[in-house]
Amino acid sequence: MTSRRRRGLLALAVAGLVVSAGSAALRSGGEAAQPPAAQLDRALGATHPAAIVEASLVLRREERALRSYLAAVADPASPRFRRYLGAAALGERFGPSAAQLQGVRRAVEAAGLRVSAEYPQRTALGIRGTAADVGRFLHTSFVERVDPAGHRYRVPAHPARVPAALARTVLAVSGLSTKPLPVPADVPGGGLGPKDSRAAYNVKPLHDLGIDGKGQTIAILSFDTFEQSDVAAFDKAFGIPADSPAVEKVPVKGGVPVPGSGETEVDLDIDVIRGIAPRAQILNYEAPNAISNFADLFDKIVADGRTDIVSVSWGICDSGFDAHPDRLRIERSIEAAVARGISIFVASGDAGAYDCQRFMPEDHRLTVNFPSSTPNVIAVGGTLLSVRSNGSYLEEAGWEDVLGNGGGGGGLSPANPRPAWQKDVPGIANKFSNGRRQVPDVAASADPDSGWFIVVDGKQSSSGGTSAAAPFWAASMLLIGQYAEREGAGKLGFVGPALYELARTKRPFPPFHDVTRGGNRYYNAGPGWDYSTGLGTPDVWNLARDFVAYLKQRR
Amino acid sequence: MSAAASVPVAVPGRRGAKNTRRKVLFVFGAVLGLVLGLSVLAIALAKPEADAPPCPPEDPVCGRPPVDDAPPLVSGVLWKGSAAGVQMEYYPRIWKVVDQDAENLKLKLDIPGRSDIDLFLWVRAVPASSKAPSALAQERVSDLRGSILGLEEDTDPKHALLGPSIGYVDGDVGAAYSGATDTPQGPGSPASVLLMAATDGQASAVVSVASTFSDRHIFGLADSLLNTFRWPSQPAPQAAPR
Repeated sequence: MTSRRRRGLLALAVAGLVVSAGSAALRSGGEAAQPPAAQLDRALGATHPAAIVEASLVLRREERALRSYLAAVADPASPRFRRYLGAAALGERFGPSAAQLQGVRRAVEAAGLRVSAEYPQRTALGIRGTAADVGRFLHTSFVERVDPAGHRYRVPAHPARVPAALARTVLAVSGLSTKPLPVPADVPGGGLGPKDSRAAYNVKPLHDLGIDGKGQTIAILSFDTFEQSDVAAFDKAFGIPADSPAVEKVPVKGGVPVPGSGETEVDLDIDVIRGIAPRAQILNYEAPNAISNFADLFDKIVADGRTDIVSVSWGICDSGFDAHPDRLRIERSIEAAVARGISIFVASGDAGAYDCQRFMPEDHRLTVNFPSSTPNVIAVGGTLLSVRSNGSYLEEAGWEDVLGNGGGGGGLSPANPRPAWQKDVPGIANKFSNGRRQVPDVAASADPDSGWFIVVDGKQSSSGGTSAAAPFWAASMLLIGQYAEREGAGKLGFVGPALYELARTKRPFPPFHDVTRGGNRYYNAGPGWDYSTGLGTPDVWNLARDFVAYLKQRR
Repeated sequence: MSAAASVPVAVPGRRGAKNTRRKVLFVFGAVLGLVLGLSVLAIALAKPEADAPPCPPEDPVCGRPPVDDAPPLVSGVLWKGSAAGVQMEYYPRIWKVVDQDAENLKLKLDIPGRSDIDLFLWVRAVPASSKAPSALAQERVSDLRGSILGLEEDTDPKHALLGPSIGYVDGDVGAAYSGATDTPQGPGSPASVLLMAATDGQASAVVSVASTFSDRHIFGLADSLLNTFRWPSQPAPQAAPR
């Protein structure tokens, strides 16, 4: 095979530990619920009573009504198809009443705590106070621990309980653990500059029409931050127009003051988007690294209402996490985003079909990455891209590096059912199907050998991983949204159902490169949908024209 | 009379009335036809475009985006294993050829400024009719025992080789081994080996990758080469006018 590839330096060894497992819906996972790997961490003693602790009260909602609404907005046969709600309307319609919320606020304040976060979509209420006061309020206490990497964190000593008086309004408590968990899904590698990716995936015709992201906004969900000087250096190196909007930092839960170990990931996300949609306004929603902050980031994006496209390149191994309150909280925040018509593109992970192996090398179970495994996002897998001598598309293979334990994440969710719209395309019903969510939905170049050029700390390098594929898809869909608006076709909304519908039928402009070679170390790529590359990779110009026709047909 | 009177007689007045009725009927029919036609037209115009036909079961790909016919980009050096009709691409910037012939390619990783990193890749491909992958693998283990002392299968689950494949063809054999380098003073540094063997039905191939480097992620560098391995049964990418 011939291809464009430049191998960079060594693949990074990423060590980590799996997330703590919860016990019951009305509880928050306590220390006793930690899986064996977490027991490798060392206890430091009780948290000081005056230490400040934060938590989230997950609010009850009209569950059946919301489920029905979410099904309807994704169902072309429903009169409510694609009729999305604003954040406030969502909260009023499905969340607790204003009086109930007031009751919770009063109880929180009476306990000596204060409400630290509240969202119009009424998914959760953030609370803050001393460890002593929060512990009393939630019937628990806190302990300090340190992991083998030296990260100090806090967990509840035993599962927290919702105060009995609030049980009719509050479903669960989340966010009590500050253990850093989400890891970026990127790997060092080499290859694609903006012109290369635009040529290979046929983005250029959109640029030629002036569709370059101008007037559009896209959000990146981050657990780290970046240096503006790196963005400027990337712009200069790759000819991004000087008048492109500066990337805006949106701090959540205090934000991230200085770049840390995840800086490369943030730079990768920004640079990939910058290369595809150079004039788009990029918002980097950034929060400290903790699993529960996923939900606050999503909630803030939904509440702000500034964008309909979100890129996520962080995740954790989806195991032992099924009933954890933090998962419940995150999934509700994502559901609110879908009800608002937001498309969230999530990297499917970089360890192939064995996602948890990235956290524990001896873990050989078939596992997927969360939150790409949730049904209300678009999960993005990885490929190795090869191009022709003129830069145009040649072929792709599902990304699998069997010697380096790398590959695009894919498989079956352990917890979530398959969404109604993930159906009726060749390959989707297969010998592994068990009624659970199947990932990924789509894919793009992620193998380090066809990685993406970036600038980190002033130096050009390159990086791969599905965390390059996810922002690529998000940025491409942003351009498609801009094109659809210009063509009078309306807004995209949540694109998951549409992608499957476009793949289901013959289109005048075939939108997907079906990847039939390679795999992800367990599942092979093949004709139609597969666990390595989903529906395939995009011909962006074709997808744009198909989307416009699709939207016009369903107005 | 009555009978005669009952005989229909052509009366100019009656005949005119019949003509009028015909005209009325004709006009009514024409108007009705027009109304129906307009209705059908209105329905046709108002009706959403019919869904595109579903992908036929025999065509799961359901259309591919057109691609042009420019030649593939070649950025490395192509080795052709003529004995079995296989090929593989490597990058002379970091890989040096130790030995090669119609069946074998032996490469050594040589990253400038990183003499502490060692990695050896050995590929052998023969016609499938002459040897099965398992036989090739056994021979390779014997060969390696000549240079790596105490070479035994490594059963530590942390070192397991999951989903072995060569050039995206699933491996019949895949295992990790460990031993020690052979030095004049006796056993030297610990050495790790990953070994895979596969066949596409026309060719059989075995690959071993060996290193004394402590970080096993070093083996990932060989993935770049193995993913370029092309079997005789694998068709070249198709070209079609855009």
